[in-house]
Amino acid sequence: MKHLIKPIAILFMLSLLFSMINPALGTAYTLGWDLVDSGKHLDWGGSTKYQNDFNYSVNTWNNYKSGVIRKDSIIYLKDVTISDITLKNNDAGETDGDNKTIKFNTFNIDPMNTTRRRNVCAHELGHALGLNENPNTGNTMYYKSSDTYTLSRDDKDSYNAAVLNW
Amino acid sequence: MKFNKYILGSILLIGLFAAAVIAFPGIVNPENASSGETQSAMIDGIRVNYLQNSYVIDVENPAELVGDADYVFVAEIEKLTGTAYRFPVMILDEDGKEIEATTPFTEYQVSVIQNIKGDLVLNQTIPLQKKGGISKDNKTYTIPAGDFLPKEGTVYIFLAYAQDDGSLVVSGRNSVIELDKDTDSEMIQKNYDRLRSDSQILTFQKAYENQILRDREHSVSIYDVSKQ
Repeated sequence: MKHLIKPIAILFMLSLLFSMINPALGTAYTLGWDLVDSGKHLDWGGSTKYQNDFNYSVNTWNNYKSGVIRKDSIIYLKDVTISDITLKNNDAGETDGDNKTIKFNTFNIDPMNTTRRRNVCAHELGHALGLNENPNTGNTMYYKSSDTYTLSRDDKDSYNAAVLNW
Repeated sequence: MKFNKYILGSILLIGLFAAAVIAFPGIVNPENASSGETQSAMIDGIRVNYLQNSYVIDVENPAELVGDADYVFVAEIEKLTGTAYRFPVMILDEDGKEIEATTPFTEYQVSVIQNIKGDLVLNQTIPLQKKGGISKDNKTYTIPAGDFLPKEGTVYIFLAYAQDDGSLVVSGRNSVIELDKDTDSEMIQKNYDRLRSDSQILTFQKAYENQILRDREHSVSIYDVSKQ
């Protein structure tokens, strides 16, 4: 029995180490659908008055996985159409999987600062990529608009998981 | 030396597992993944398309919900009168052909039984629009994720926004609240005393006392008592 102590101790230490690493990992939240085409691109068309913020958000996602989101062209047919609406309610953005649209609500976005606008744009793009909302603050995919517009560990892990569904 | 093989093998296995979890957390560890309301959900045999939204308030917090809405009231749905198709946008269909896409808003006639916030006319038939509804081809329901379409003959709490034209729009997650099951059956018998002890109504009355306001432009409904 004495000779078993050493390997069991090592295995125990490794298990302990792994259990310490695991909570540090993000959580993946995926929708089970996306607007990405068969060539694994999300080509957007249409326009929004928040175009600069939208373009910034495109770069945010593309900086993590290069070249996935592109502007549509004669060669690249649009996979999602962006537009603006005005409605007095409490939502800022909306992604429609069936209609393949992203709509930005000017009533609620107009009063926002740049960071919030970028958060809304990045959030809706995340849905189009197949990410679900995140129930925790500090994530771009948190359901309430916030000052977070960079990708958190959860956002990245969700993106990695969504890519596997493409 | 014999044990070294075991140790080496164990380290290799654990290392591989750890690498897999780091690379694909949602796949290797299913408990670590979550999927949204499935696009294959059905209502009365009709597929549901769930809209994904980002909100400007915490839609899980009654104090924020009540604070942001113009009117919070208990009302019975008398009739579903139709569907309005709003916010048209040109999209490409599967063949690359341009077609118009819209968002359905279900139109209801309701009778307000009790005001929680605001002062709408009581016991009169008034119209309201609820975001979400059946598609033009009757093949799909489109509904904001976490939301539902209320049914005729049922009493709910509504959180409504007055629009510039004075109409009422109910929109998004937790914009319609179901009452307790007991209340519902009492309502069928038109016993409105039950409303006093309904847990949901009490929750939203308390939320009104502690409402969290957002700085935004407000409108007054044409069904507000002050407009009569």
